[in-house]
Amino acid sequence: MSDDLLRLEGVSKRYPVQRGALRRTTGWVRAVDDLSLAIPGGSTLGLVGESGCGKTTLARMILKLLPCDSGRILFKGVDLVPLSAAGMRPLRREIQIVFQDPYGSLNPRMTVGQALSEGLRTCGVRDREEVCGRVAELLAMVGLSPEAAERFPHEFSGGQRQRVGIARALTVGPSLVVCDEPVSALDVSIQAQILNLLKDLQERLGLTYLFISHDLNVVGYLCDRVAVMYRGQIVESAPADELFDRPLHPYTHVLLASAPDLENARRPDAAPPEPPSKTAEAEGPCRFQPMCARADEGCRSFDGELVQVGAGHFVRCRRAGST
Amino acid sequence: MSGGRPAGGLVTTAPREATPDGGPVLAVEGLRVHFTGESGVARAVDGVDVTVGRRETVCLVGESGCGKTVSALAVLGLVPGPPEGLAAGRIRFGGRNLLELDDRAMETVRGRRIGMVFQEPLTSLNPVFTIGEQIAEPLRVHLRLPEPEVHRRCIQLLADVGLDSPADRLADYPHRLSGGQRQRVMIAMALACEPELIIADEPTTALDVTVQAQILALMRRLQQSRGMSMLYITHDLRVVAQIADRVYVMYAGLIAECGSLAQIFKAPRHPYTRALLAALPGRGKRGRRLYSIPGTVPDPAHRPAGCPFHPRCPQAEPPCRTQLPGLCAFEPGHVARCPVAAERGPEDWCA
Repeated sequence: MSDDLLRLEGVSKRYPVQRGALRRTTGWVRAVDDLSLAIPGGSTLGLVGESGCGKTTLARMILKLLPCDSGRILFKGVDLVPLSAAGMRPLRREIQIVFQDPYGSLNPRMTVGQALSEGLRTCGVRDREEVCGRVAELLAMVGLSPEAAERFPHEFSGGQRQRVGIARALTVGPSLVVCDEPVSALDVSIQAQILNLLKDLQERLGLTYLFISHDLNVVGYLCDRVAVMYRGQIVESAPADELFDRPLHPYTHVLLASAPDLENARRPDAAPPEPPSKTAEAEGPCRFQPMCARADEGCRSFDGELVQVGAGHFVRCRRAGST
Repeated sequence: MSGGRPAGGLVTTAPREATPDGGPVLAVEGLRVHFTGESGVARAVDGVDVTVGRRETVCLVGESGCGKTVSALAVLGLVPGPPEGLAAGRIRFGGRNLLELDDRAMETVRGRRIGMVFQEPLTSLNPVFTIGEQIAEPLRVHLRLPEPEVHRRCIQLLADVGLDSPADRLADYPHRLSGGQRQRVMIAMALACEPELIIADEPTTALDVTVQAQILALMRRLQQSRGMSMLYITHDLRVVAQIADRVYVMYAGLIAECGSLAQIFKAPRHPYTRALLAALPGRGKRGRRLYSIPGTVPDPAHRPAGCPFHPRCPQAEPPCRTQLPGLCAFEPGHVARCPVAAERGPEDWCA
């Protein structure tokens, strides 16, 4: 077994499309489709894609908040999929999540101190003084003063609340933290503070991050590897520099052109067409083909496998490499 | 409006009035917007000057709470009057001060000569009316066009904003459209009366990056082909880089810096502008810490004395704490409210 902390093998999830008064199932949306990826311990994998591509569904399956239809989710070599709620319990401490909107995930009637100590108690810290000490320690770790423990979530600004969200994820001492768009709702100056904090914590605690985002600039800054997701599939994955310097999938090109770096800011002139509805062409082998500028006849019968094209560089496109 | 257009006439054929002096389309001068609440008087906008020239796209950029949206609402006459709110100063548009217009007179400007596009198309569109009815409304109300002409115009507008099969779309309700399509409908509504000025408040913030790129390209294309001016409000410097001709950076109800796109991005002078740019993540900064501005944005009801940025500024000097600095000119068209930067030149504290 490799040193991958988390490995997904052929994970799938589909949702029924229901119509009419009887809620008859008229079709399926393949939210996550035969998806495989791996995250080595201590590294950061960026998962990029647009809304509705299945990023959050994937995150929820990793946390077992949502059952998956098929495939294996291996955490430290243990498959999470068949585990019962009781069997999952010890592993819950290892895998934690930071949400985009910490306000929605914090109990408004609990002080921050209470919210943090709840997590500590579940992992067996019962002594009052020890709990208080740990809470203060956690708050210091995320850059909040000890007095923050007495306050309620609504008394904090967005950035501080995200710090509380991070502290709460850390209470149980996880090794993998799934970050679901943690800085998307924040102003630039606050976003920089949170990104710096995530980096510091990774160094100090040896955390592994699955960093879900739609922002290529954030991902390019923070992540070691980047996987680009399109309609439930990984279409390209590579070490971050490789992906930005040598993008091969046409969708990655579109994404990069849509969110230019400030250094080479370019006016968007050739914007991509809007995608058709999600179920419409779901049966086509290459899901990007209807929108692809480079697609030709052969793409209609392309079997859609991820192919290795370089060191750690995988792409799902039969025309990748050809120009 | 000096001459006024004939009611019911075709706007397309009506000659565009030139502003009396051929100057800017919109000139906001010394705008102050104050709100009175429980915690005292919030000075949301505290003396802002902005001009938008003909065929120019001007971006107003700043973080939440800096007063950028309130400034736009003031231009549109949408700030509540006393006792809750108060807008003072001058907003010159079409030879008049918009702040002096009564509600009726303002209605001949808002939606007709100034179009608006807001952030949330789903909340700005009425869910119980079809797209066609909503686009037709300004054509009926402002231009009093005959029905067949309204119908023809609606289809043309939807085609102009890049919706496919526009004739079929007219009968659709907003929920049937995707976020990008809804924003296109909003733009079509804003364009309906062929306004001279479009005010766009974060129109792409809720959209995916690829859709955002489409909408930005569309707005730029329409602005150029129709010879409109645009005041574009955003918090996102990358969007600014993609659309602006000129940029105003706002902080705590004041303009911190103003200049051309190149001046702001290549040679920013105000410490706040420089800090914002240094705080932007990007692949080029991997492995380095991002510059983070210490402290938080001041509460509009309790702004610090002197320069509002001084508590967070790495190059603040004693006078900054007591006196509000004036605007200092750096190059033609490039000003920043920072005498320290003017004196000392750029320092590398945020490298």
